[in-house]
Amino acid sequence: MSNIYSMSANTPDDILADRILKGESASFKILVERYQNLVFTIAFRITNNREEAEEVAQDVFMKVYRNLATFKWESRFSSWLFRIAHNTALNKIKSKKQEVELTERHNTGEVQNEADGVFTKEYLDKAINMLEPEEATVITLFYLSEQSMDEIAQVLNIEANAAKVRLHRARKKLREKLELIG
Amino acid sequence: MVDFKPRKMITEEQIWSYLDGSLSGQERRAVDEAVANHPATAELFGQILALHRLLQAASPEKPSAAFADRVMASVSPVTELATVRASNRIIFFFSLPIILTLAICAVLVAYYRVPLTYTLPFDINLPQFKNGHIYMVVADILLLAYFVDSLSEYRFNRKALLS
Repeated sequence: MSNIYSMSANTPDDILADRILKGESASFKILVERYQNLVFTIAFRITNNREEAEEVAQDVFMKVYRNLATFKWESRFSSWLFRIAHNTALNKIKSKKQEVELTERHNTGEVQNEADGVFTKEYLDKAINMLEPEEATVITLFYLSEQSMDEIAQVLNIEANAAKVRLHRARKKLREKLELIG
Repeated sequence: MVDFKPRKMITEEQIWSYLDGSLSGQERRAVDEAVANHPATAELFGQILALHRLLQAASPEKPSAAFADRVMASVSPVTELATVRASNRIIFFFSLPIILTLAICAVLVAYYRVPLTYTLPFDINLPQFKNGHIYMVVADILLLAYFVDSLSEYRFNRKALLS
């Protein structure tokens, strides 16, 4: 039994999708468990609210399930999934009229830190949450997923060069915000 | 003695590219040299390196423990629809030829007075009842009704699945 489970846990996305379309809901659970952390992280870094991020993540997987038959496998499944996650999170904050709040947060822009200016994870998370949604997603995908810059560009629906610029801008902003205490 | 220190300043983007491993050998040597010879560049490199390591060490956030179960619970009605859709497709593609065959047989028996056995592609002894074509028509109507019901359910499920 454990061998069957471990084999399923390593099953490629396209085979899982094929099984899902044939009615195997257990395969969909494997897919959810495989990507739930990254989808949630993308959503959380845009919404900055755990409850809303979970709502977004759940909505994302529902959309994937409903539209799985329409995915043409011309790109990686994960790219498609992350694109849905990014767009769904954006729509969430737009619907909640959080853009004004986000802009105000950017303008204040200071990260309180401890005495010696050492970058810590806690303040890194806060600094990432202060980025623009596209910048936050680029940082998330570049460092936490196995997406190439071309795939990240596909997720954001921009050119590869534009994705590189976003990454550079995001890194620069992060460093500036974390250095404010320096 | 001529000062061979690089005159071109190393940019922050170049340092990031250095850490990403996307610079050529010559470009990497230029960065190494700038870091070795310019304290300001070395300080910048140190800051960027610290942030780079922090980003590399980061791990994804996690949703609540019951997240996957909640997703599956919300998906389950859709799963039932998908299963019904699959069975309806089978009904759709198998019942239609049967209905058409029976309809043709009924026409042949009723209007051309073809004996019942002659409507079958194989030789078999069947009871020669008087109004055999009527039973065929009744069976055909029942099958057609079942087919129409399945078709409407199929289209309803498909619409619900894709909404």
